[in-house]
Amino acid sequence: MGGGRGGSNTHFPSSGEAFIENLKAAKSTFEFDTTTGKFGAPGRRPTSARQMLNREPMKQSMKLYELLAKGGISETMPGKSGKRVSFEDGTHISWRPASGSGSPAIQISPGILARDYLTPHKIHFEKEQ
Amino acid sequence: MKRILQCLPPSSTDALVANLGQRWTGIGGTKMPQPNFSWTELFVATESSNLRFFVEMIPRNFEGESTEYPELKVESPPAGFITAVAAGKAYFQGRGEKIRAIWLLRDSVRCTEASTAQFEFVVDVGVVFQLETDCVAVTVASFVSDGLSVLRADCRENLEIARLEDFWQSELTIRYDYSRQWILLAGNPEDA
Repeated sequence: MGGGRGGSNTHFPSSGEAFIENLKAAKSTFEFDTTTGKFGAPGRRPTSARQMLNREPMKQSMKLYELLAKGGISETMPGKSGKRVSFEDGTHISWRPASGSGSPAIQISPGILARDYLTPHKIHFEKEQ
Repeated sequence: MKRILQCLPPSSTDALVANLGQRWTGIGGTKMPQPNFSWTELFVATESSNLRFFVEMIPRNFEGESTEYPELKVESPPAGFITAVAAGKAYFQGRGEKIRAIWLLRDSVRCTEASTAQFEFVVDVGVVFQLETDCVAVTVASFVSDGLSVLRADCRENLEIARLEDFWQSELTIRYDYSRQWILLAGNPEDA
């Protein structure tokens, strides 16, 4: 991943630049692979899926979502099945307390600005044994 | 090798083609938080019709484990855009311009592991409308979400459409090969 575009810290809260600031905060707290531009460690197939193991998967998944979602245009997902947020560059993120595999999951899809910093991926939060 | 085809049916392409030569009205949707993005669905309106673009997350198991992939769908309902206008979620850039050509974007990714072909995924990822002064694309925003992107550029080559390479990245023993087809559904791009 490249260094991307620079900028000041005073951005409109839902701008793509503001999301990049959120991303910096999230990267300082959660495992992030700068080579692939993805959080977590490689999971099983599919290759776009990642995995984060910890003692409190629900709490940690919410924490990562909240760091990334700060200032964005957020809403509750239909059926109250989770939360989702979007930013002006098209970056969009959703959090589900229970994905198809049963574990909490976050999907991150970068928009035009954020593409320089990360790639689209889904992260499954699983309980550390 | 598994071959998965996720292509628009003739009923959808017919609905698209019917808009050739029509005057553009706009794009909108109540799930559209900003002009370049919508969750799940959006509407394209011309002077005579209404197209609904939507995404369904479909579970598929061709990568070794079942997961959901977005499937683009297009239909022509009698209404929809008007609801977006009433909600203040409609964007009228390009209004009044004639649609000169309509393109379908078809991507494919082919996976080879240890020299053995594993799967090929052929997927319609978006539609591009060539207007008189610019191009408007409606595409799946990502392969891990149900988002739709709206992109604009002066010509189709300048549209920044998401690439399959961002979702399927080659590793040490797994290789992915990609291709993108621009299928002209209707019109003559030279007329623009």
